[in-house]
Amino acid sequence: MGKIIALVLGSLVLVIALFGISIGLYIRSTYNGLVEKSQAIDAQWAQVETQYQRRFDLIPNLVEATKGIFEQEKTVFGQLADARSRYSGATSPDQRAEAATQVESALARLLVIVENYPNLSSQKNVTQLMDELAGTENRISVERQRFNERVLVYNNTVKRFPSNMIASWFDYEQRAYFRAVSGADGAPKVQF
Amino acid sequence: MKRLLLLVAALIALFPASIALADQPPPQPVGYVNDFADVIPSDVEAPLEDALRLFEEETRVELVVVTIPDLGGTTIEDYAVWLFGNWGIGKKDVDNGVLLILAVSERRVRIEVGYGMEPYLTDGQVGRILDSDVIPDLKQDNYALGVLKGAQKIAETIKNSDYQPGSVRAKPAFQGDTKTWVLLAMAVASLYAVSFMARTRSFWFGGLWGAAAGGLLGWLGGETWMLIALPMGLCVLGLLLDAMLSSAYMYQRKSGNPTRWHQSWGGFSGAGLGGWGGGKGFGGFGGGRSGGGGGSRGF
Repeated sequence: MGKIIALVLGSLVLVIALFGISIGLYIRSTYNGLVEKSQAIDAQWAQVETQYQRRFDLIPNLVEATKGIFEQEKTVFGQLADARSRYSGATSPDQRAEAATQVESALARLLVIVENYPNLSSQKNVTQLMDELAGTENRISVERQRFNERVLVYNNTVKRFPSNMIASWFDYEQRAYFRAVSGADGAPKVQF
Repeated sequence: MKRLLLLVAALIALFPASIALADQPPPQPVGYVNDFADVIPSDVEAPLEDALRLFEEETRVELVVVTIPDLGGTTIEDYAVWLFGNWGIGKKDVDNGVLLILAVSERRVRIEVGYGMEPYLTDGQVGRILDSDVIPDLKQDNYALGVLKGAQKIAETIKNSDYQPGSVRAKPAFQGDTKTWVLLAMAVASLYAVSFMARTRSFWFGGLWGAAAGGLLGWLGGETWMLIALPMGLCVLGLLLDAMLSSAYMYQRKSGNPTRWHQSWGGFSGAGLGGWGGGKGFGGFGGGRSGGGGGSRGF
C-alpha cells in the first residue's frame, strides 16, 4: 500500500518538476526570441540605410548627367541638395528616415522632369543612371517592406498573451513601423 | 474603435502587395523554364531548359525563366521579389540567382537579380539587355524569342563579368533536415521504450517517457503552447499507456501467450520508412534571396 502512495507521489513530483522546467524553458525561449527579433529589426534597418546610401552615391552622377537642364529646373536641384545635406546632418534614425523621404520626392520629381527632355532621356548614360536609380528605389521599397514585416513579427510577440508578460518584465516595448511621409507614399515607381 | 480601424487601414496601406500575394500559394517550379502562361513552344522550351541547366552546372548560377498570364493586381516588381523568395532562386548564402519574368496580360517584363549577383549584373546592364535584346521581340508578340535572347544575353553578361563560381559548392544529394532525424530517432526509441514499459509492472516510466517526448516535440514545434501542453498531455497519455501495456503483459503472461517483441509487434518496425528520398522530378532551387535589384520594362 505504502509503495503505491510513494509511486503516486513520485509521479506527481515528477509532473510538477517537468511543468516547472517547461515554464522555465518557455521564458528562456521567449526572451531569446525577443532579443533575436529585435536584432533582426536593427539588421533590416541597416539594410534600408545601405540602400539610402547607395541612392546618395548615385545623385552626384545624376546631377552631372542632367546638368544641361540645371538652369531651367533650378528648384528641384535645390530641393535635392537641401534634402541631402539634411540627411547627412541627421542624428537619429527617425530624422534620417524623414530626410530620406524628402530626397525620395525630390528625386521622383527630377525623374519626371528628365522624361520631359527627350534628347536628354534618350542619352545612353542617362538611361543607365535612371535604371540604377529605379533599381535603388525598388530595393529601398523591398527592404522597407521587410523591415515592417519584421517589426510586425516582433510586435506580435510583445503584444500577444502570454509572451507579453515576459516582454514587459524585460522592458521590451513595441517598435514603430516605417511610415512613408504623406505626399511621397512608397517609393516612386519609375516606369519606362 | 475608430483608432483601431485607422490602424488597420494604415497597416493595409503599408503591406498592399504582401497581403494580396500572401493570400495565394506560390506556383510550384517545374524547372528552369516555367511557362505558366504557355507562350513558349515546346521546341524552344526544351533546349532552353537544357541550356539553363548546363549554365547552372558550369557557373552554379540559377537563371530561371517564368511566364505568367497575369499579375493578379500587384506590380511585377512585387511579384518578382515574392516569387524569388518563395522559390529560393540561387544558392543559399551566395544568393546567385537571376529571374527573368514576363507577365503577358499586363505586358510587363522584369529581370530580378539575387543579392549575390548585383555586382555582376547591374541595374544599368539589366536595362540595356531589356531594351536591346528583349523588348523588340516582345513588342511583336514574339515572346519565345524575346525570352530566349534575354536569357542568352544574361548568361553572356555574367560569363563576361568578374563572377567566380569557385566558392559555391555543389548541392548535396540529400540534405536531411535535423528535425526530421530527431523525430525519426524518437519514434524508433519509443518503439523500444514501449516494449520495456510492458515488461515492467510499474507505470511511471510511461509518464516520464511521454513528458520527455512531449518536451522534445514542443521544443521542435517552437510554439509556446506546445512547450507546455505537449509534455503534460503526453505524460498523462504515457502513464495510461504504460498501465494498459503492463496489465496486458501480465494477462498475456498468465495465459501463456508469447510476449517477445518481434512476435507481439511483428512487422511494425519496417513500416513507414520506404519511399523516402524519392519525390518530384525537379529538386527545387538552392534557397537564394533577392532584394529588388534589377529592372523592369513595359512592352
